[in-house]
Amino acid sequence: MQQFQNYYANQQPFMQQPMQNTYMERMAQLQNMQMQQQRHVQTINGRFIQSANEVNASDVAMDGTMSLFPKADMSEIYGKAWQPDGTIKTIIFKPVLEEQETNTQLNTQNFENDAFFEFKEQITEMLNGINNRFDNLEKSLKPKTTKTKAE
Amino acid sequence: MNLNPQAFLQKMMNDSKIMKNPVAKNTFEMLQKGDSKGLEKVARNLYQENGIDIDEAMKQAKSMFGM
Repeated sequence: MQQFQNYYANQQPFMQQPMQNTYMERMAQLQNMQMQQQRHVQTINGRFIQSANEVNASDVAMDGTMSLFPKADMSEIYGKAWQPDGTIKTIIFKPVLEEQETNTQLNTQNFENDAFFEFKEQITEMLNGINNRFDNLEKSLKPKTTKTKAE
Repeated sequence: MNLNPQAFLQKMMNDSKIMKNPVAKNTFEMLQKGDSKGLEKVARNLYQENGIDIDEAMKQAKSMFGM
């Protein structure tokens, strides 16, 4: 019996060790994957500013990406990036309100309607002119026939 | 760590983190070509972006040494 117990006592650590190792390896892999995922999250360089003059050269990232500096009132966003010649290129982003877009759409619709009406008027004018000519022709023909009848 | 200028340049150019910086990339390329005028222009622009007039700074430096 003692031999039997000893047998298990010897075997248990041997059986558990590989299991523990694989578990630890798996956990390490998962942690690595999580760390990699965290590293892949892109961050935006920049900060909120009150005016464009506030931005210093040292505020602009030198990793080739654009740093963004939104104005506190969100009226403009300054995009700044270093250029190979040692200058900083600035792009200003300005908001476009949705209302303005619908207004421009309406304006184009109005323009299209105006153009259509103008075209319609021109066509009607042309048709009226043709009608008048026919009328005149008819009138010029009528007296002749009456004259022949009288003769 | 004793590196000769060429080896130092090569080491810098192999560093992907440094070469992501457009100014550094251009500077190292000009260094390799020996484009001194281009390098001066970059230096002047860098000083200007940091609000320093390089000519004024040179004058001040010279006056410090009594030149």
